[in-house]
Amino acid sequence: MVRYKEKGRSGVSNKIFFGFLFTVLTLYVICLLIPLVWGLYTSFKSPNDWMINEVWPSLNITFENYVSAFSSMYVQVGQTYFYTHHLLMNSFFYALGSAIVGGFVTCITAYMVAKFNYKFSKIVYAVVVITMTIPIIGNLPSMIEITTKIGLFDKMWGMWIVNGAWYGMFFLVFHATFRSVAGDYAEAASVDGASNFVVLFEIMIPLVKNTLAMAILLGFIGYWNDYQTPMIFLQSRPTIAFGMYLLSTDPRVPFETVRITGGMLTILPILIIFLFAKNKVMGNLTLGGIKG
Amino acid sequence: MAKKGVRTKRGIKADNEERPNAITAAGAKVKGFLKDGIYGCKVAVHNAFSRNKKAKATSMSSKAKKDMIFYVLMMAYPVLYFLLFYVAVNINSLSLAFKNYDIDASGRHYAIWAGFNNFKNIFNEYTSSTLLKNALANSFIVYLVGLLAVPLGLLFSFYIVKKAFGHEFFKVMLFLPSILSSLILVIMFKYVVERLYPAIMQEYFGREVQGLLADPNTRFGTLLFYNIVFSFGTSVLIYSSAMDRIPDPILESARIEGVSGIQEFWYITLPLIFPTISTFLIVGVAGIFTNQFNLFSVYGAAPPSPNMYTLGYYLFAETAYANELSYPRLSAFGILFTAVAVPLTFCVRFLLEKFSTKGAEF
Repeated sequence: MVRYKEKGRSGVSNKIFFGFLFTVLTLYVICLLIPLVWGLYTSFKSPNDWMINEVWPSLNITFENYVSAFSSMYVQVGQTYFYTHHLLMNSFFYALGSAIVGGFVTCITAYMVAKFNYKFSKIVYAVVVITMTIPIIGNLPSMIEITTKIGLFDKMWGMWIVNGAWYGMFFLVFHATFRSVAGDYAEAASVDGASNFVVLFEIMIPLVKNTLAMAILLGFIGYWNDYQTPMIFLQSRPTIAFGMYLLSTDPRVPFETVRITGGMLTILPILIIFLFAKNKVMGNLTLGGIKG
Repeated sequence: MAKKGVRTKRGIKADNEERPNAITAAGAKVKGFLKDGIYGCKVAVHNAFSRNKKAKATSMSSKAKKDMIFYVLMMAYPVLYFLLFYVAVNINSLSLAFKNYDIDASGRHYAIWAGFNNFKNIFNEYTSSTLLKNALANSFIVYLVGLLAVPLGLLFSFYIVKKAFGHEFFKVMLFLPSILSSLILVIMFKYVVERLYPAIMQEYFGREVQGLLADPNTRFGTLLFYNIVFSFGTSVLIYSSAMDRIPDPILESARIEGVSGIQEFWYITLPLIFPTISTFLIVGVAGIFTNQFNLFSVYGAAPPSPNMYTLGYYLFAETAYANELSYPRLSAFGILFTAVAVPLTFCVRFLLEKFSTKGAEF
């Protein structure tokens, strides 16, 4: 890192500049953390304590909200009730399947386009760039029609396929990464008689495993948090995010603390993943590949 | 002592050596045979070599064939996916916009050609009600105010890249909103402005106030504030990556010249990462028509006032609760928005390219 002069006029202006940025960033952090910290300590507050004091944490820590949230969060589909553990399971399978299918399809397609120098590869690359540039809006009704017609609508595996759109930003990231990976290993393996499948799955994919892990992790987080897509496309297998959406507006929920706790319950798995895989999730993402 | 004689190709032939004629003739014959033999061998080697070459060429073509089969196999799924979920979906969306659904006696839906009726109805709807006019105005306001987040995001990224005090912590905090559920963040934020803020005002200032989202005068501004504050994340990550790739020698020479942090940001960093910024600005144009302004998360299908609508929210809420009969009308909306968004995106792109100094990607 290049350091600035610490003395003289430019030293003073640096201190003011970075001091100002520090102040704005601190204000931002306060704005961000107030809802989260307040929500967290409220989730351990009994409904009676909440009635008396909505602002500060209570000394009487209780887990009753978590028990209530677990039992009050449910989604009714026809005659079937999906309780919290069902919703968590649905979310897990929905997010994991979609992220894995999307991640691998994107990675493999990018590899084929980057390493096989056919004219078609160039066309595919151009098409991806064009689709990313042209904003197409309001095709949701058509998407519902098509997925219904081909039998993917309202099916878990169907959603894994539907969510496997490969022509996005990660295609460019993978493409750039494969381009920058030297072909020596793959060539040596080919000379030794390895098939294209072996080269792809045993040599090339392990070489980009960090990028792939990042794509899958970010995909998992995105699908876990998404309540609007399952709300429309996966009505018979509701997810925890959708359950939380219903809970937030359900007048039958007796206490506000239960709603707040439901929110905490939903973000907890993601916070845990984030704490353990912070560096992977926040990898140095560039369209020229992954650095550092 | 050196032998006297004539140096020939085959060695030294002694001057005084005498050979009988018969032996010479036999030698010539042997030589002839040898010559022929060697020639034969050469031909055989040549043939063998050519056959190898031929064989090699055949194996190369079989490798090319294998490559082609592998390529076709692996590309079949992505191509099919694209044809189905991009090409077919958008063609169907276009055709839906010119259709209408009706129900026959048995209750089944059937499509009829509607021409431009759906578009006419949308224009009638636009001119006769204020909802769509407000939605259009709100969408532009949300977009333009949201642009404030761009310079802030750039400054925050610069702070992180320069490894200033607490940069690691701030990086995590800036990224946090993009991994946490926007729904939960909105719900928590809603509680803070609806419950915590009035409670604090009551307890510490003795004033009874409405929640900021309940108060008609503050609800739009409060949501705008939320939209900016919680919008960093991926943008900061990508900006800081782009800044990180500026070569050190450039920054080193700037430091020797005595530039300050703010000068480096303005004269070096911004011009050099401009391609990344312009990509964000270009992609962001479509947000005018898709940004739901978190209205669905805050209010569900019924915001307290129709004046708060954005186009993105309108389209999503209508689709989420629509049945098949409404799809043609909604698709016509989509086609109209796309017809505006595409040229607008290209205009922004053109302007950014024309009025910007050329940056450099590293």
